[in-house]
Amino acid sequence: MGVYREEVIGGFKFIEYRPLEVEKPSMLLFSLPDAGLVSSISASHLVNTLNLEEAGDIESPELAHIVVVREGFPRSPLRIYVGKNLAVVFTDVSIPPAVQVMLASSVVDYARLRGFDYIVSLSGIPSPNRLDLEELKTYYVASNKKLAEIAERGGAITLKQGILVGAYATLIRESVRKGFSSLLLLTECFMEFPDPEAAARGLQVFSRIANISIDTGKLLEEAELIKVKMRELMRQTTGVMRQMRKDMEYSPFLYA
Amino acid sequence: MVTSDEGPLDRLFKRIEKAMREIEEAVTREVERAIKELKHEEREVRVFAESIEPLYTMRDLGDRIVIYVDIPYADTEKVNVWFEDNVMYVKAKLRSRLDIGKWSERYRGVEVEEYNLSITLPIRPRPEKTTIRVKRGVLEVVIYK
Repeated sequence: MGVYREEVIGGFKFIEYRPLEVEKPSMLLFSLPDAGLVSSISASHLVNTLNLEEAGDIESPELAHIVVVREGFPRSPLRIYVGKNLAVVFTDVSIPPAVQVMLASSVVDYARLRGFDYIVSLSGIPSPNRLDLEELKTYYVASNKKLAEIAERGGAITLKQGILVGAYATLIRESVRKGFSSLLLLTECFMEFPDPEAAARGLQVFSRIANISIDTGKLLEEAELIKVKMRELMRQTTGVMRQMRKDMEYSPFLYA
Repeated sequence: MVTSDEGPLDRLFKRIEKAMREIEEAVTREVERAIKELKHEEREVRVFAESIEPLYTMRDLGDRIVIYVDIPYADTEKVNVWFEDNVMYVKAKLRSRLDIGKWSERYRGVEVEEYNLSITLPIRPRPEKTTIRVKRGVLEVVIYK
């Protein structure tokens, strides 16, 4: 694919194959493998069901040794898909913790420079009692009040207290620091097992927030096969989460 | 224990013996850890085969050990769990054979038919103090101490 524009931000090269024409209000959905692979399953489902087009990729010297092959052609493991008012940053591989943190910060800058209205991340919040939870809740963490109101109208609940560990923690912290609008939607999930049910619940909330119709029926129908298919990515992601001490999220928050 | 018959040399040799024992134990631990890692790497290469290892997690909740094993697409009527000493074995048949070649050319001809897992437990389980259930494609084994 030809290069329309490339720009280095925070050590990552953001490459666009064509002008990113995204309707307003524009959203950038940032997805990295995390708890229950909720983020990866959600993003993959969005790309497939909304027929989003591959419009760019992100290169990093840290990931230069990995290539994803699609229909005989090499692709970056970090790709950008675009359609309607949405752009999705997606990856098929687990990313080392240090790279995740730098990437999250760079994505905030990229979204700001490209004029996106806000960043959304659909991820999971590990629940030790997940096996017995019949109705999953989706919590939100917002970088400003306006987004908090939008999240609540969509059915998300305020995450009143807790600890976040990983790329999404960096994303929201950097967004606040840089004055950019970002929203984390965190659905109750298994920590170490892929959780398509949690992804479906998160997508339903996102659907109301973004005003996009998203059919999650197929996702729930194929949930078991998705779990088998994503088993290895989950195993690798669990290793990464262990390195970044993701288990700290289970700790009760000490209000000081 | 230090007795009045022990001279400075005896005490010195005892200290040396103790230090040697500690070194030996540390080396044994390191070797066991290295072997475990090697076995893990070996397993990581074989992602899909006729029999696959399911994802699992083990938690110590004080009065009990809880093990969760993710067995999506398993036939819940054909899940077997058994124990030998402090090792737990799980075998679960899938509802039908899964042709992994459809997902990746790399696995052409590979069909998964069952899950197999063995876990070394920190305690020896007693049948009357163990509960097992399968819910949402997850096997839960609770072993009370």
